[in-house]
Amino acid sequence: MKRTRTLLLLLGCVSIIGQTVLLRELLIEVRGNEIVFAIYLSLWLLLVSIGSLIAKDFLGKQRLDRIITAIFIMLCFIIPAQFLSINHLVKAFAIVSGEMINIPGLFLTAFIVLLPGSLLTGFLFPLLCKQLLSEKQPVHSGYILECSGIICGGILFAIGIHFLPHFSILIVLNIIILSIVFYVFRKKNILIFVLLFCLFLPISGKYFRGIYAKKYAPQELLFTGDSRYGRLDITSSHLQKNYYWNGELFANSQNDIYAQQLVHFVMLQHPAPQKILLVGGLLNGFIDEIKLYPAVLQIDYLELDKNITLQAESDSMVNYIYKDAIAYLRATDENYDLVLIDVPDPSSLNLNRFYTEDFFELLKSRMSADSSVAAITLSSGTNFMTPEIEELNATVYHTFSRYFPNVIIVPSIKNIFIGSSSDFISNDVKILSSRILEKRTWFNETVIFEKCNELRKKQMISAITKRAPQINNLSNPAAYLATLRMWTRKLGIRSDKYVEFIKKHFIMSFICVFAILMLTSLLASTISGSRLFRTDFNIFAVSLVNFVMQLILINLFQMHFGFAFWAVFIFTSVFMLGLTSGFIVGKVSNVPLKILLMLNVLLIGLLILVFNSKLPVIIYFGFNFLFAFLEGAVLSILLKRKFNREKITSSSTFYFLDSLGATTGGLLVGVIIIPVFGLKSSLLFLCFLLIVIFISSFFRDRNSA
Amino acid sequence: MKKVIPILLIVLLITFLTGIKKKPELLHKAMFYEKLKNNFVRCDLCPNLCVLKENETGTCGVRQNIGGELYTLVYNQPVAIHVDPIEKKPLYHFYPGTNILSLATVGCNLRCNFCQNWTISQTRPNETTTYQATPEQIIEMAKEYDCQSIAFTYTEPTVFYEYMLDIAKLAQKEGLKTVWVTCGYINEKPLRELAKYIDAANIDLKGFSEEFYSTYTTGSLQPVLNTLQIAKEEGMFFEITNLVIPQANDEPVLIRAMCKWIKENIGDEYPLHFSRFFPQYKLTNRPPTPVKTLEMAYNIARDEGLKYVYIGNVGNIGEDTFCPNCGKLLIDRSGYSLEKINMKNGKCKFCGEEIFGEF
Repeated sequence: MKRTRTLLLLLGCVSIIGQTVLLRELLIEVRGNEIVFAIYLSLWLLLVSIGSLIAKDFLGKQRLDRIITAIFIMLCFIIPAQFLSINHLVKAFAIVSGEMINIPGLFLTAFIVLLPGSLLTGFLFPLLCKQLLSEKQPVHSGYILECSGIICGGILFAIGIHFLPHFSILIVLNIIILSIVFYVFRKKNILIFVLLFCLFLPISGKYFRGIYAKKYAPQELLFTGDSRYGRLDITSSHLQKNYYWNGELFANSQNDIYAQQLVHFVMLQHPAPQKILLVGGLLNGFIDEIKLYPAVLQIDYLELDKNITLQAESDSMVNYIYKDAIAYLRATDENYDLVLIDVPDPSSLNLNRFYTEDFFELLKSRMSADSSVAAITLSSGTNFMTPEIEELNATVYHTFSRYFPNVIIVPSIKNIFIGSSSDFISNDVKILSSRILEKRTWFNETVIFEKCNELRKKQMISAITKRAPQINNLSNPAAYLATLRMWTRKLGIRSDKYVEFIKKHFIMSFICVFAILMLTSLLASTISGSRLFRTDFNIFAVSLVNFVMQLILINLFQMHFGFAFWAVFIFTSVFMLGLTSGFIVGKVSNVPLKILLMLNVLLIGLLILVFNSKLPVIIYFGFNFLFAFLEGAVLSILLKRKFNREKITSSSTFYFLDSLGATTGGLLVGVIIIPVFGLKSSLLFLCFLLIVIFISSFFRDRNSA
Repeated sequence: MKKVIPILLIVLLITFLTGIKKKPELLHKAMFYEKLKNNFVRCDLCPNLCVLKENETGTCGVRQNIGGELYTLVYNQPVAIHVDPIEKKPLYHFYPGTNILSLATVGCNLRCNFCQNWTISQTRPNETTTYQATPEQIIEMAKEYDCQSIAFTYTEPTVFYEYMLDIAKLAQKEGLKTVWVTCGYINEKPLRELAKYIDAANIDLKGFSEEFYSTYTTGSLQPVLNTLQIAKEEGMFFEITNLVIPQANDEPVLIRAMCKWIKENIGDEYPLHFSRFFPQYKLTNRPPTPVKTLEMAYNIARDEGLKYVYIGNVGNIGEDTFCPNCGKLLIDRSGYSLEKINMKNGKCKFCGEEIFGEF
């Protein structure tokens, strides 16, 4: 019994580490955004649910020990192999290297990579629960132990990434798996594998680097490093250095035109800027261009990852600050003459923070005087803006204009929005040229002003300003949605039509979503051979709420506190801790289901009320824990009903419904509801689902005991 | 109730049919197509030779079979009109230092995954609002903005052939020059017709292998080579641009073969531009072309005996024109501006050598 418990803990640990490492590597390779992440996570869970359903037919078999041992050993080889295969698969599905992967490739790569590992982990859970049959509530115990394993795995990984590359973490995991399997089953042959992996561990990082370097061939990989914020790769080709952040090219040397076109337009807007705050642009050569202005005394450069600043030459004038930009602006007392933000477009909710009214309000508060200037850059079309690009630019323009009395738009290599209280700012090339003549001779006007001729300026500005104003904020991430639509357009999907349709036919879409949920649950219940339709629906729906809530809370946390890969782990671990605690309480006590559900609805209501307020970190963790606790307790009670009727087979059907609910939640809410309606509306949808579960809890399944 | 349903259905059908048809004034009959059986048509404008059933649109997205006739959906409907320096096209031997009114409609007959103008080329007419500008209005606009010439550019102008042709005819009457910036993916007959009215062109020779064209552009190389040869036969002045993409068309062997072909089949006087690639559209994770690669291409072209070779999109490298006879600097360029011109009446100021082009 003790051994089985250890294996269940191990299963949780393997699941979370395997899942995280593989998903992260996949996302880096396909350069996926939050939608891709939601799809991949859902796919993983779907495969896990199928695995657990298949296991149902094996529960009656003898000698499960052998199957369990074999599966754990298989996992030791499969997960690293999956990890190493990702790069090759992506290459196979992308037509040429460096190209956006197409939709079939996006799915097929993930499917092939995730299939074996997730099927096997899903398959193991019911088998291990069967070994706990002598306990009063074996499935409860199994679930609690697996969740505890997830917490341990999460913590281990959060520590491990500080010391080891991801591939080496998998090798350490293999050593742990095999040692535990040896401890449980006492099979000496296993020790050979343990020894082999121990010998391989010291060279595993180098081995992976060798394979990883091929991804960039014929470029030479000069550096690759994982930090707690992400991965930085540096390559070289014909003396040019190229910088990739999480697989995405973001800067390169020999990029003078980019730096000149963006920096000088902004610098010329202030008569004599002394204190500059710069976010982004370091490796694109911005500092060198800024330093050409003799008035400049100090440049504060904001960056999360030290790996990036280490690539730049040290400079006494530059003060590197390793903080999230929003956290820094909230905490600092410094005021600036000029702030220049050149970060990627708002392609994630995290990046969207730099384009929200909350951020612009902060920027405004850090301006030193009326003459101070704030500038932010944004993608544009070279000669024409698609409706999505227009919408993105218009949203940022209108949001930015709320906080600066004077705002000008400069068409350049990207569009630049410049705001100030002063009317010194100008996008008139003649005026700017006269300022250059007064000051310096190195300036190449035709390069700097290339795109800012009168006709182009008139067209771009008219296209941006004529659009109906939309404000970008946390509850309505309009700029993020426009960027997502740019992405789908490149993939050949005209998502704006669907979005419009959904918004226009809101009630019908809502009914359709709900019908899909009911049908999926009914189908799942029938497939799994269960007759407890209401209970099954409730398990399915609570798991959906549970999973989506986790997605929303992580996003909300990141939106307020900035992105931190490790913090997501701690956040997830706290969530799992809440879930496990709730599950234990639900197992041992008889708390009424209706009360738990109502508390859950009230808590979501409270979250909606404080949605836009920035609360202390501890409150977010508290919310996180409480939600998980309540949902864990609800699931535990529902499982009791199922176990009373189905006995040990409930381990398979429960796990199946739980994972399927999460899958459906990830797809429906992560891919449709959050991107179309935003986080706040998604919370309302979850409230509605909980109320439905609440109402259905007044009824019992005919067949239930 | 039974009687009402058919009436409702008819009303719905009529509404649907009238809804999908474009307003007649926005349609313009296309040139170069052949009527086939069952109301099918074949568009003969470009090498794609699209066979279209009723209501179907060609690969370009802007030529549609309506009732067995081919129509262009973009006549009078440019989406981008800008004033650019002529050097930006790039044209270095055609009235250097002048401004050019540049226009485009949506659509393209190729699908290059690195397209620098994908926002226009991959958009369809019904997906965006367009300007309404007749050829007469375009001519007026060119005059208003003090442009001596008009460029059909950004996307592939061949797809708005009828509009381009009418503007070019009118421009010729009004004494304005016209420039065709093209990928060269056009059939012989329409090309020869167009050549009568177009003054200059910049023709993209995107790579020098069929493999490159099929992988990166969905087109093929041979029609482009044909275009270059026909344009020469027709006496059209043109310059050639090769966008050098790392790991795609930057192999020295290919570049040398391309330069040899140009010298043997077109001539050593036609200017050749090696342009720097920047990540765009779907090819966003390929780094920009290293400057050293462009210098290598430049040197190969000079080795092969091409007289006028340039590097573009870099700034301050390979931009100047030198006399092929005495080797002295003729045009000193900085970005898109001219710093100094040492030429008189199209000839070298130092040795009197006639320089290819129109100055």
